[in-house]
Parts: sequence; structure tokens; C-alpha cells
Amino acid sequence: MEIVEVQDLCKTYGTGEAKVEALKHVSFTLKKGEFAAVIGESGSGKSTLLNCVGALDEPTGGRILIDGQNLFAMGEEERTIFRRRNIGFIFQSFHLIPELNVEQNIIFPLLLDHKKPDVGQVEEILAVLGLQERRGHLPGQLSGGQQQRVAIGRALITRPKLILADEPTGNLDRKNSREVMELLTKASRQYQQTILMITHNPNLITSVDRVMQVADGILSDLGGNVNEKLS
Amino acid sequence: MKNYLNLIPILAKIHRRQTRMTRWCIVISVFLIAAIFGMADMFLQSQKNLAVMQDGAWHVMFRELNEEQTMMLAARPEVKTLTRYAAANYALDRDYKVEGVQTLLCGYDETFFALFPSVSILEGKFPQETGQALVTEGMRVRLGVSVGDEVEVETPDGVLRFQISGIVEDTSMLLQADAFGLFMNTETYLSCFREATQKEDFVSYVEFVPHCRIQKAIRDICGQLHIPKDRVSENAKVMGAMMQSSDHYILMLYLIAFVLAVLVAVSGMMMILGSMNSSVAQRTEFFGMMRCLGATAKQVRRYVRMEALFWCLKAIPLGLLFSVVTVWGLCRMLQILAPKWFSEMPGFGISLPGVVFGSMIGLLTVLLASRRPARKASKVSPWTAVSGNADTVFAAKRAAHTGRMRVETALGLHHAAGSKKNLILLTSSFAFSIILFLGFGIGIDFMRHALVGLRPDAPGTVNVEEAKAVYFSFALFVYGFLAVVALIAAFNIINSIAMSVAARMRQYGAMRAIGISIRQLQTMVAAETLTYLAGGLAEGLLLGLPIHYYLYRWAIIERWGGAWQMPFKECVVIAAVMIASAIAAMRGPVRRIREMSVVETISM
Ligand SMILES: Nc1ncnc2c1ncn2[C@@H]1O[C@H](COP(=O)(O)OP(=O)(O)O)[C@@H](O)[C@H]1O
Ligand SMILES: [Mg+2]
Repeated sequence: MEIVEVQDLCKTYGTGEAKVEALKHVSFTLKKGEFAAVIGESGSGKSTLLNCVGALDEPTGGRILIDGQNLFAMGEEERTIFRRRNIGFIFQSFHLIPELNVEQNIIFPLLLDHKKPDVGQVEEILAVLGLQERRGHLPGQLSGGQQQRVAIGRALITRPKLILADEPTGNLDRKNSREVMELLTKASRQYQQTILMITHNPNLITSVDRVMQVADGILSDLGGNVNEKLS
Repeated sequence: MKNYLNLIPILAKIHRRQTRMTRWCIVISVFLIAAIFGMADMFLQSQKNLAVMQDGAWHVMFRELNEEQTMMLAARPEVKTLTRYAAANYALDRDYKVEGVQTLLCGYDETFFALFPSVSILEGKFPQETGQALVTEGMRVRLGVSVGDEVEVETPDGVLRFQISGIVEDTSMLLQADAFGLFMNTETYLSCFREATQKEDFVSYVEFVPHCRIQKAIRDICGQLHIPKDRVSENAKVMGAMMQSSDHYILMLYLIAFVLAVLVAVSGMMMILGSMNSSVAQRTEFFGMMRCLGATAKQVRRYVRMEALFWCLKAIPLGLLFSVVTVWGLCRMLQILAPKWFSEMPGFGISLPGVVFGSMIGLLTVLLASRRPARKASKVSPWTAVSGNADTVFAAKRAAHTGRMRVETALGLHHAAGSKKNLILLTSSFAFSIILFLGFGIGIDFMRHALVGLRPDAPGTVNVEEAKAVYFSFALFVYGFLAVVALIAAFNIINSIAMSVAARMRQYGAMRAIGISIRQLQTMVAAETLTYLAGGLAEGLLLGLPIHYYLYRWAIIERWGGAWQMPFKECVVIAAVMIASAIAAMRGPVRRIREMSVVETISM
């Protein structure tokens, strides 16, 4: 079953002299439970791609279907609600809400839907993330690695069909990076969640199912056995 | 570049958006202070001119001086002009008559006309020889006399004959009493009333030289010439308008004006403090970066304070300019409303006290207001520059309570109340406006009571024009100040909400990415706004009503009696202004939230 379907996606910034074609006719699909990594040089268009797929940014051309639904055929409010129920985000600079504690940050997407969080599920996620002791702490009282784990918890809590991660380990050291990767891999294996992750770090793509490369706005699929090819 | 502080003008352009509100706050504070002092100054100038026209330009009058004392007095360096003056039949109730008409007889020196500019010689000249006299215009019209003619005055002691040397204007007193006036020089007067009049009957009007410290001069004169204090009286209106009076009532008026200016300065300071706080909060990462690059906490503190002074370079002249234009407009308005009373109002004058006090108090306010934000900025840790969680400067120390209400409402409340200091600062500055409004609203009651005595038919009232003029100037003063207070409240609310939202824009961007809807963010901003508003209203009424009660007792009940009543109208008006401003205050930030690009906001 296809969770992500991107067809002929184009994105241009600016006009005239300042015109930048950040994405040029990008097409690809992701299956349920697939863990895909996007690599490419800085400025190649990776973040633009992720933001379009996550409906944070509007493409200039093409179509994006998430779970069969056309994102940009929806109205603004509908799209927002769709996003919070079906797409989880993890950013390089965590973007936690400073006024909410660990537990509240994790259940935030549920609270936005005015849903009562399932206690068992919250406990499970806190346990998986190793944050049970820290549940009452504010983000300012946590280390970078812990903050990113909270952000992962927040992306997992709604059991979204798709998780988008833009360099989730970019601000972390090696040990914390490995932990984050393990958590993401677990999510994709255990809960059958589709993950699209941007990374700079070639060491991190050993555990992913599929690698795609963006170069100058053009996407090419490197397939699954990319590690042998790169080495 | 010699110094890191040279960065200020360079970075000013880049930080323009974050500092715009602070700069406007400075402009408005300077404007208000300069306008208050400017208006007071113009008012005093016009009152002085008017008082000179009504009561004369003399400062002090001495009674019962002997000839030697008079000569010594006239010779003193402090004394610019001295004129002796005596009158017979001043009350127009004795038998001094010309052709059967009551006549006032005066003797004075030629210098009289310098001290009483409202009286002028229409024709002829001041009597140079004994036996000559000036007569009033009314006598010329009614008796058909002209310069050079003889005029006979019947007195209880026989008939006096004078040769007319000139014609003078009628005074309003003579016109009203339908009487004539006949004025001679002091020598003539003395020769006419040799038996009845002593030289001591003359009073001496004195005008001092400019910039003389009059109270000191009076003390010196009385001491050296052995003149008892009770023989000296002041021209209260002129001296009052010159701020040289010893009259307690006038000193009280200055005290009130000064207190008002201080109150306005305090609310201006709160406004500037609030806006500087958030301009610092919005630039947390910049200050963190400065620390990263090796700036000491002290250098960051100096940077913020110098930056505030740098804004003053433009903001203070702009505020002064606005005040000058406003004062011109208000003066024009008063002249149109009550032309006779305010005819002496300077047309396009620039008030020196207004400019001086406006810029000095403005600068002082900015310096005081910048202390706390500067300390905050210096406490930003270098680490903030590289972490993604901005807004940590004012971040709450407790988590929001999301259990009982919707998360967007809970967060909105928490944004307002999470930091106690922030909440107290904002609600207090809102409450301050309410207290000022209620307190000053008593001016309306005062005006109503005081002006009962100014009805045109009341004794002591010159005419309807005067009553009208007093009413207009007082009403302008009271309502003008109430409007200023309401304006400050409105601006403060709009400003605070805009600031608070701007400081959290990144956070709102991140929430949008996670899936909060625009409507939910609107609710969040509304909850925050409502918290400030409710807190400000509650605090303002709780403190303002007791203050109103005591002020009312002191200013109204002790003077005119009556009982205290709840100032419903004032409460409703200021609450309505605040609620309307709060609604208006949400519009801009909500629009910014709606138009925000999530991607750009979170990657900022
Ligand atoms: N808001 C924008 N306005 C103009 N150009 C942009 C904007 N965002 C990104 N770009 C340009 O688009 C290209 C791709 O950017 P991005 O997707 O952020 O690259 P990456 O994430 O691979 O480093 C870059 O050349 C960048 O300069
Ligand atoms: Mg990127």
C-alpha cells in the first residue's frame, strides 16, 4: 500500500534574476512501513522536498498524495487537521514548546484534537524513549538528546502514517545520534510507520530500507543496497 | 570600527522590526510630557499677558511709604519702574461730580502707562503742568469737551478747575458705573488735596527688572527701608503666571501639573520598559551570539542601554516636533473658542520649558526603563544562540496546566500568567491607566462644582466671556488629560499584545507545523489578551476605587459637601476603551499569524 505518492513535484523560489528552482519534476512513492533516507549536499533541495511532502510549504507544480488524499486539494483548516493526525515532524532544532513539560509536549498533538490520551500508550512511549523519570521536566531542563527524544515521542503519539525528519541528528553527538536512529528504526519496524528522513551523515543510512539522493533539485533513487555502492 | 558599540547604528537597520514599538513608545512619552509642559507654559504666558491687561504689569504694591522711602525704592537696581498712585472717590459714592456725573479723581506718575498697558492716551498728552488733567473718553463724548478746554469738578470742599491735556480710554469699571474719570499728575493731586491727603496716601506700584528673584528683592527692600511686611501686596495673577508667587493656591496648581507630568512619565516608563523587554526577548539569539563571540555580560548590558540612547537621537526630536504642532493646534482652538480670553495666547511660539522638560524627562525615562531589559539581555547564556528553543529569556519556570481546559486556552493563559513578573508588569501598567483615569475624572466633578460660582450673574464675574473661557480651558485640561490617559492605555494594550505575540512567533510556527490550526492560535492569543485585560481591570478597579473615594472626599466633599458615589461612567468609559483596544490589539498579531510562512518561521 502506498502511503506517499509524489508526482512531478516542482518548487521555485523568487522570480527573474533571483529565481531558484529548488525542486525539478520530482516523483517517487513510499510504501507503508518503509524507512527512506534523503541525502544530498547542502542547498540541494532536501528540506524543500520534506516541507512540501509535509504540507508546510506549497509546491509550484505537481501532486502529493498522502494515504491517497491530495494534500493541496484541501482547505487550510482541513489540511492542518490532516497533518496533525497523519504526519509527525522531527526537526533538527527540536522545536519543543517551552511552557509544556515532557509529557505534555508528547501528547500535544492529541490535546490539539481535544482527545484524551491513552495512559497506557503514553507510558509505553515514555518507557521506549527512556523519559519516565523526566516526564515533569520542562524542555529547558533537558539535554539536546533528551529533547530530541521528546520530539520523537511527539511525532509517534498519534500513530501517524508518515514521519518526516529533517536532519534529526544534526545537533546531536554520536551516542545520541545512534539512539535516535534506533528509535526511528524501531518505530518503522514495530508500528509499521513510514519514515522519510533527511541526513548528512552517511553512517546513519546503514539501517534504512531505501536511500534517495537530491542533487540540484533532481531526485534519484539509489535503491536499498546503497551501502555497498557508496563504499 | 573602534568599539563594539559602533555596531549599534549598523545593526539598528537589521533590528528595525523588533525595536519599532520601543521607538514609538519613546516618541509618545516625549510627546506627552513636552505637550503637557508646553501647554502649561503657553497657558501661563497667556494668563500673564491677560493679567497684565487686567491688573497691570506691576509685581508688588507698597502702601504708606514716606517720601524718602519712595525715593530710595525708585533708585534700587532691582526696580525697573515705580509709579505713585492715589485716588479720590474710588467707590464713586461721594460728591465728586462733573456736570452732575460721578467722577473718579486720580493722581499718578507718567510711568503709570508703562505698568497699566490696558489704559492708553487716545489724544493729547500726559499733564506736564499743575492744573492740567486727562479726562476719559466718556466725558468727551457726553459733554463734548476736547483737549485745551476747561473742566470744573464739584467736590465736598469746593470746586476744582482743570485744563484738559488729553483724553484716555474708559476702564470697564467706569463704563459699568456710568461715571467719568479725571487723572492728574501727582503734584497736581497733592496741591488739590493738600488738607485731605497725606503723601502717605499714595501707593507705589513697582515692576522689577526681568529675571529678578522677586521674593528675595522684597525681603531685602523691607529689611533695608524698614517697611513692615503688611504694607506690601503682590499682583497675584502676574506673579503666579511668572512662577514667582508666594501664593499657596498657585503653588498648588504647579504641584498638580508637576504630579500629572510625573504620572505620565511613569506610565511612559512602564510602556518603554514593556516594549524593551520584548525587543530583548525577540533578539535572544543575537545576544547569545554576542556572548558566544566573547562579549562579557557587562558589554551586552551596555550595548542594550546605549542602543536605547541611540533611538532617543531620533525619537526625542520627533516627539518634540509632535508636541509643538499639537500645542499650536490647541492654542488655536482655545483662541477660536474664547477669543477675548485667549487673545494673548502666543500664536506659533515654541515653549522652552516644554522642549527642555520633554527631552530631559524623556531621556531619564528611557535610561531608567532600559535597566531591567539590559540586565535580562546580559543574562542570556551563550548556549541559547545554538539551541533551537528560543524565547528562553521569559520562559516560564512551571509547566502550563493542560488538564482541565483545552490546550490552546491553557497555553494562552500560561503565556500571560506563566511569568509572574511579566504579568504584574503588564496588568500594573494597565491598572495604572485606570487609576489615573478615575483619579483625574474627579476633575469633572470639581469643574461642575467650581463653575457654579462662575455663572455670569454671580458677583465677581467680569462677564459671560470670562466664565466661558474659564470653562473651556478647564474642560480642555480635564478632558484632554483624560483622553491622554485613555490613549496611553490603548497604546499600551495594543503594544503589549503585539510584542507578546511577536516574541513567540517561532513557537507559533513550530505549533503550526505540528498541526495547530489558525483558529486555535487565535484562541490562544485571545486567552492571553483576556488574561491581561481581566487582570488589569481587576487590579485597576480594586486600587482605583478606594483612591477615588479618598480623593473625592478631599477635593469635593470637604469643600462642597455631598456624598461619594461610585464613578460608574468613568469605569465604563475606561473599561470600554481598554476592551476595544484589546480587540483591536488582537487584529494585527492574528493577521501576522495567518500570513506566517511556517517554513520560514521555524527555520529563522
Ligand atoms: N524561502 C526561500 N527563498 C528563496 N530560496 C530558498 C528558500 N528556501 C530555500 N531556498 C533555496 O532553495 C534551495 C534548496 O534549499 P533547501 O531545500 O533548504 O536545501 P537543503 O535542505 O538541501 O540544504 C537552496 O538553493 C536555497 O537557497
Ligand atoms: Mg536543509
